[in-house]
Amino acid sequence: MIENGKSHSAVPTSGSTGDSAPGQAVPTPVGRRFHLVSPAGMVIACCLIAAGYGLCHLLGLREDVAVLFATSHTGSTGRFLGAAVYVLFYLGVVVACPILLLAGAIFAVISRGLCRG
Amino acid sequence: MSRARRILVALISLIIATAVYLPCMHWAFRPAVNDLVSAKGVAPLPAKLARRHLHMWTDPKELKGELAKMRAANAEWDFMGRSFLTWSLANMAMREPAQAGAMLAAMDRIIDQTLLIEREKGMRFFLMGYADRKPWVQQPPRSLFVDGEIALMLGMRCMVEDKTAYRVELDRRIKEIVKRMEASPSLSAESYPDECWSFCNVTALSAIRVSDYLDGTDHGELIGRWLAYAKANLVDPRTGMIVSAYRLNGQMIYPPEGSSVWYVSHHLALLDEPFGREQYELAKKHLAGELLGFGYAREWPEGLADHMDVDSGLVLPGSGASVASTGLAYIAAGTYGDVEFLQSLTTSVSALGFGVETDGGLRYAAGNQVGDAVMLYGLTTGPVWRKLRGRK
Repeated sequence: MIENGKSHSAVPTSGSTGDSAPGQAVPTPVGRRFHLVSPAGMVIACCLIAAGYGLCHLLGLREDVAVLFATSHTGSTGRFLGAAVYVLFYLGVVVACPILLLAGAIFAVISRGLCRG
Repeated sequence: MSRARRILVALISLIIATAVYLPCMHWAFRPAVNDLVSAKGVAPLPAKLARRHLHMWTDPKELKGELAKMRAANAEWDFMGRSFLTWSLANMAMREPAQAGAMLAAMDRIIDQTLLIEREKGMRFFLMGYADRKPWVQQPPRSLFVDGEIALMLGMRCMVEDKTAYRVELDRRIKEIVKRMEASPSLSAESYPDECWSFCNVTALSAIRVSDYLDGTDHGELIGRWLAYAKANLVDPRTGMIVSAYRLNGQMIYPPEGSSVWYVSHHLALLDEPFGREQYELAKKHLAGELLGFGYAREWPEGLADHMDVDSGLVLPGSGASVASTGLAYIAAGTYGDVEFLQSLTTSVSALGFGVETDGGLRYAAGNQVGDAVMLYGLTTGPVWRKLRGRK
């Protein structure tokens, strides 16, 4: 744990600390607390996006994306929205997920470096 | 680590990851050259696209559904899907003579059904609603859009293997086309009332060239006059590209557009190769773009943007990338052997086309049948034009 630039903990792994007011002593947690802003949080976000994409795919929303590209006309707002959600999750999988995974790895390396420092 | 520091580290990590990943992302979608083009046979990607089309044309239910989807948006797409597919199959039959039988059977099915519809429902079945909003200048009304593409379908089919009934129909149509072009002050015929499209006129001229090849006739003088007229009157002074549409008297209606000029350059490769190459180079200069390895084509040159319509398809804000222009760029890139551009365009299609593979066939859910057929034509074009030029 790093507080005011000094390490006070024997378990300085990233994502292992609780939130604390500056200068306040932090008890060593029995179990590791989960932080969204952490390598693990990034991996979990990635998994959620992938799961959302999988669900959209299973619902057959891929078939409706032509509506968004103006290459087909269905006249249904529901299908338009379904296609939009599908495309968002798809972009999440192909653009956001790899970035999140890579960022998670970088985050872990930086955290380890900071903790050692 | 404090929350503030954790957020800072996360942001730095995300920035580094984005900077590393985005420039590399296109590699995940970039196809190998051998998947796209083949000097003699049919490469794997077009083979998959063709398989899906061939399956569709033997499955009445699937065909009806696909055509209905397109017709709800634009009746022209139904017709053009037939044309591009037939032209692709003719090129494929020449690339793989062992498969010619299957290709000919499919071409005949498409042509017969198209001619039947035209006979029973008239040319307006394949035209947009405004075909009736004002009188046609040349009487009786005929659309060069329909006549030219059907003539080229018939002609290309007969170049693979002659068929008397089709030759008679081709001859009849070519005579009508030539008569109307000769009678027009711009040497062009109407596709819609007082609306001549470069797209349709170059198609008709190529059909005339095919007919000359088959019959031993020579309309070179008419083709030469049309080209001279186009160079003098139909070239946009700002860009040097051929305009999309004009009145029968030659007055411009629509400036150069990606959904037209790429395709026009493909036909000019047959009619006047240097002029065609010049148009292709100008189109690349004004319309082609690439972002992080993903190729696209704009509908309008930068600074000359118009409104999105049924011809342009979706136009993405910012880049100006147009679905129609990007699709038709395939045909020009395939014609001029621009493999790098084909790869770049296919990288985008692989990423955003939402391919659906079934039974060894491939279609793109983001597009429609005509879009897939255009792509197929771009990836198979070559043999018919080469055969015609060899005879020239």
